[in-house]
Amino acid sequence: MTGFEAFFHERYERIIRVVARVVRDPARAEEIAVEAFWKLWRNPKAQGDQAGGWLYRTAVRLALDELRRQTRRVRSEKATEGPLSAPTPEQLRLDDEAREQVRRTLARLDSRSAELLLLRSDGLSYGEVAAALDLNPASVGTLLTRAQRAFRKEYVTRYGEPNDERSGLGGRPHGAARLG
Amino acid sequence: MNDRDWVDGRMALLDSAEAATPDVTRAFARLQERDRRFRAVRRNWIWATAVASVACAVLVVMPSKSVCCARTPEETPAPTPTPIPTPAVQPPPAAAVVARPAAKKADPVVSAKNYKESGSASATVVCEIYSDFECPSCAVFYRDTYPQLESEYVKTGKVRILHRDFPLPQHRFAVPAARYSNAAGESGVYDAVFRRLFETQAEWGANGNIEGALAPVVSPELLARIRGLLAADPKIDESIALDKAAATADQINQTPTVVVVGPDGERHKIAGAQPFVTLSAYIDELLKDK
Repeated sequence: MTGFEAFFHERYERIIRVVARVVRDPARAEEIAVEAFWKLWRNPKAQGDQAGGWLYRTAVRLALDELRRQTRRVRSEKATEGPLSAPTPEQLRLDDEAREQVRRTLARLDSRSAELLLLRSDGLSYGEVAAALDLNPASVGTLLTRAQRAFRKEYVTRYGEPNDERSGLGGRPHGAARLG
Repeated sequence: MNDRDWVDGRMALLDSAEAATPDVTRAFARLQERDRRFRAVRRNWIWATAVASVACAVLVVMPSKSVCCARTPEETPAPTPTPIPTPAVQPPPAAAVVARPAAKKADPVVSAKNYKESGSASATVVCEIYSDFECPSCAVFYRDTYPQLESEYVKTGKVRILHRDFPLPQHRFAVPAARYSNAAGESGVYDAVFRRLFETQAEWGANGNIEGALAPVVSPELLARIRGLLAADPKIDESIALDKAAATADQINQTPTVVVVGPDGERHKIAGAQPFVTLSAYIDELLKDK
């Protein structure tokens, strides 16, 4: 097994996970994750100690690009086709709708804010986020706070305050357990 | 609820959207396939660019010269899926000695293997060069491109060369010249005769006096031996027939044509007297694929 192949096996699961959170279609998520690794493969300058961060950044950017494309497509389809999917049990439909609202809100944020929120919510420390996005570690907290504020404002403007019970929230507070 | 907790709650919704257990092996295979596609596209792009550049250069610099000799359409046979034969290895006889008077220009090399081959047997890339001794573009190719190809790729073990005869019907002395070169190969002086035939193409091409052209590089004794082989050795014509069969399989219709065989066995046809830079770009790309 080559060094790159070992790196791929070690990191793939984490990268596909972060991409799959953004991109709804699992097959497309796999394509994007593979594309991120391929870009790393073809870019010797990105390899080395910083490869992990570079890979995260690239994967998240590709995923966000795809999300924006999907959002544009869905908007135009919605105008003529109504619901996106076939009828499902009500709770599943609501969950799906809530996820889509989060994704569409991310798609409307500026790239840096969306990347920060995604990487942070995937469990990366401030230091790891700073390395992945090439930021000063000292400024990550401030930027993250701004991103969170922008996200909430955008979400509430578009969808109103969420009903946590309806959307399946009320379980673990996501960030508190993982982000520390 | 503060912004952080509120946003974390929203982002947590995405967790349930995670993919099923990822198939890492399949994903890595997709990565390799992605890279293969990329290299194929890039290779085609480089080749197309190089051909376009060469075509432009030819149009501008030598508008009156052709860069290849084309087979006339009625002579082109339908391609057949026959495998490409390689001439049998024929070590030179021990008695094959090359006369080397001081005035002679060429320095014949006695081959220890198939006389039409040169370079390392383990080379990554093989260049099969189809040529016609009476083709002016072939003479240009061997004068301008081949020496650098030989010094930078063949002698460094990266590329193996296989010369293939493809005498065109419109060239009256092309077959006799090819026969002389093969008889010379059987006598251990293929390279010297090969070079000499191209160098003096204008002379023997006009009067058919091939032996006269070879006299400065081949001793009278050796010339007599070559003459004997031409009269009696069936291998001389067999070698040409094998090369022509290979040309049919490769759908060759002009000379010179270089068929570049990559490490994966793919055969890439490059027609015309291409400059070294074009060939090297192509070969480098294949060497990268190793």
